[in-house]
Amino acid sequence: MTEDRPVDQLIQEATRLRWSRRQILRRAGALGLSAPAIAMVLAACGGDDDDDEGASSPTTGGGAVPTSPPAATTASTPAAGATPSAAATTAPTGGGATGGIINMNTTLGDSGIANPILTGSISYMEYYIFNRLMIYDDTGTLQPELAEDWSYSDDNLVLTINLRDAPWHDGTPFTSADVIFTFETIADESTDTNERSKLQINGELVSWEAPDEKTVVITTPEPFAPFLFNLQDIGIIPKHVLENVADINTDAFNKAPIGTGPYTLGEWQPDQFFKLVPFADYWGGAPANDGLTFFFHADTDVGSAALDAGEIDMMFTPPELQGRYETNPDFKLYPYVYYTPITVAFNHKHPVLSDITVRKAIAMAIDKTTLTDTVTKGRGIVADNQFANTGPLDRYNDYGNTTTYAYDVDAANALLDEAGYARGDGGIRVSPDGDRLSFNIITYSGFEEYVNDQVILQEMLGEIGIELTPQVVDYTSLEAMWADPNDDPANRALELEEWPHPYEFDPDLYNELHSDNHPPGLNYMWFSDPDVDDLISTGRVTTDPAERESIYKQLDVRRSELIPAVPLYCAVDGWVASTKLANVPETPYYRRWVLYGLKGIAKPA
Amino acid sequence: MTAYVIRRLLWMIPLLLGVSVICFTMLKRAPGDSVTVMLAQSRTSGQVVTRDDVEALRELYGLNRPVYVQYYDWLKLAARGDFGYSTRSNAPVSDLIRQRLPNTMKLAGVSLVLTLLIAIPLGIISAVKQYTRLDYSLTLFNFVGISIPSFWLGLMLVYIFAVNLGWFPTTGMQSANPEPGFFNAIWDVVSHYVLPVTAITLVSIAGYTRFQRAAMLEVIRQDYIRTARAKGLSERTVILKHAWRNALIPIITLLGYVFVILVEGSVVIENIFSWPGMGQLAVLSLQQRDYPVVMAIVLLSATLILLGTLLSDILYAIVDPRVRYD
Repeated sequence: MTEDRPVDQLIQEATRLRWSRRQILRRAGALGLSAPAIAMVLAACGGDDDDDEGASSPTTGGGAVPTSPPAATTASTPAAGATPSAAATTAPTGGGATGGIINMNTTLGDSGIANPILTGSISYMEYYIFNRLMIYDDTGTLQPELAEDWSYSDDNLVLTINLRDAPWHDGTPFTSADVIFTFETIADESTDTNERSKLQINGELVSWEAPDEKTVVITTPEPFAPFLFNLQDIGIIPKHVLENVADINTDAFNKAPIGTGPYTLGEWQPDQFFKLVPFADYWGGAPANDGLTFFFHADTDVGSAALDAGEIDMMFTPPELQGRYETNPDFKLYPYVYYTPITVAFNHKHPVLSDITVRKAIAMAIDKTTLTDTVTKGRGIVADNQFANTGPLDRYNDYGNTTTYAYDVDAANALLDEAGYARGDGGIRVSPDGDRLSFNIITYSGFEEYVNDQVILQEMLGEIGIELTPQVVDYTSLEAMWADPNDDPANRALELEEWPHPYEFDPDLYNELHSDNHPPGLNYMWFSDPDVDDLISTGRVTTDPAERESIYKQLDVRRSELIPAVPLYCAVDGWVASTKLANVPETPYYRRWVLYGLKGIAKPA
Repeated sequence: MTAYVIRRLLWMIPLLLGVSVICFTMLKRAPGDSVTVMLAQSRTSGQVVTRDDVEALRELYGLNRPVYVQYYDWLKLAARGDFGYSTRSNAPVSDLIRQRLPNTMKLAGVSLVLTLLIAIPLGIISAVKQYTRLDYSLTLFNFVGISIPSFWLGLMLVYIFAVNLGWFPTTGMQSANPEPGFFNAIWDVVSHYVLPVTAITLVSIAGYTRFQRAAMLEVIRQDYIRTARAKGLSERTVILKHAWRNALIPIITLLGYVFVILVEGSVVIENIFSWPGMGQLAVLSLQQRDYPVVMAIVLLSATLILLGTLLSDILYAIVDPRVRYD
């Protein structure tokens, strides 16, 4: 019985990692096991005959997203490796595979890291293989994920989170220890992560404890509303798999992750594709499809060919490619509106642009409708408020009380004349201090749209005697300029970009708009206003959602008076999806789509 | 000859050192680093990264130290063959290269064999039938081939044969969800090679045919060819036995170069076809400012080029007894 040890080990490992029949065979072959021994392993593990389909989905027709977790079954799941029982591996078999495999692509490249807390981890992994504690919906409201519910203490300092019952992919139950372990790993300075600041408030780590298996209590040094936004961005990793690894940054787990999400990782061919296989015991119900395949493509041109050839079913598509699919009956376009408008941002350290009259005149000289229609071919949405007029941040816009600047070239000219900005050489105005109103307008490379914006703005501002020189630099160079506290404001007098750009679902603008954060901080446009500072600070310590709404509405009003930047329009990109796909959600929000939408999409044969 | 080879090999050391110094300095002088790229990417995908995170990562990666210290540390390890860890994927650089180099070699190897099999006969025919219609059409084909940018050719092949006709897959080395069966498995591999190999081969045939034609034309005019014909040998024997063997000399000496050129030239093709090889890795790593990987790839290509030229010189001496290195 010399084979006993490897056989036992193999059974244990195969059960823990939920190997398919082929994986077991390959592995057993590598160990040189005899045929009867292999049969023993297969029998013990109930190895699935079908590699690709994995467990078949219990929901067949319709493919609606199941919302309630099968609580009864998950609670009784046995611990990993303890008993290779059939209960841990067999899924309820319904009518077989009907949902099809959904193929898509990513142009972000294959970093080879599937651990969601590590720097550069593949961004889809945290959505599909792992879960977060909570997640935002389309309207910007937090919905429970691994957290069942949560509440703040009266002083807004103690956050109590109740956790749901959920199994890890290997069957082990998820507990508060996993959450604590995730936080501790992120806090550890040897971990290669960019998430540490999510657990910090003003540079200080929050503290956490787990009074029992299903509760996590977080104490913050001061009230901090955006903390929930931070929390929802953290994928939870398993303690029982990772607690004793030598180096989490390079551990094999990063290639063979175990999560609590709706999918497990199947085949992964570096720089070619990875496959996600439905997890039958997912707490939220198994996915409606038979799996997802993500192909790594160099860019959307490559992806577009694959889309046309039917190799992928959907792709996130830039505006220049959308026209191709608009009239094609085989595809449907699902627009996606960006949450914050593209703006002309002013460098408030600039001696001329720090004058509100000049900023006002510029705001009045821009014909936003013409600009938007020309540049976005009618797809963009004209913006007058701080955030998009649709989507999760819309609730923070104050449409009634904000100051709007109607397009009026004559009024803009009159304003400048009155303030003493007389026309000089070539019709270019000169400030009372003798400075020419000639500025550069800078943007980062990669977006043809931005370059077109620059040219049109150049023409429009020419009408009021302001000369613009468009300039395009690559993002990292611009970053270096932003971080330099001694940067000459003339080097980037105006910037064309999304600024100030808040947390995606949270309106907090402390980093970009508060005067505490002038360079090297992120308020690189040097904006400063005591009222805005106050509102931002209050908004950060107010955890009540309704109160926060009112604070940020006031901020919208104040911003419209001071014009830190002129909002121009919200850009619209979109998904192109094959009409073969069923149950594609009609929501304009990419994130939501990635989170819940894909799980429900099916491709009927 | 041995002394010559050893001398050449020793010369490679200072050359590679120089290459590494120049490359390292240029990479460090370029704006941004792997952390700023990461920051930019995280921001576009909706994550929040603060300056504290960035500084902590710079510290962890050792990017805050003076450039010469970073170079010295890199060199110390590189001299032992350790190229460190990729900042992008946390994997050892040697693993990444070991994973991808064979894929590039396969693509370049198949293309090289096809190029030789097609270009050599075409070159001979072109030379033997000089100034005939056949020669003119081959010449035209060659000039078109030399002039076409490979990325354009690649995209056209994808458009025609993958998108419109649907004969071959657009990208990749293998299907994610292949049809079961032995023959399907073989076709799956072959069909993924067809378009990228065609794109590379069509371009390299052109140059190589011209080269073989020129070499052949020179030999055909030699006195000993006239002598062979005067002896009454058949034209076939004259061309294939007397002329071609001598016309092969420059072709053989080029082999080393050509393979290197094919490997390097696959950068564009690999990106168009999402072929997981060295070219794709190089582009991705440059975009991500993944210095350890970029440095390793640059040194590897430099070594390949130096070895390629050395190999050419050695082959030259072997096939042509008139050449001697002392």
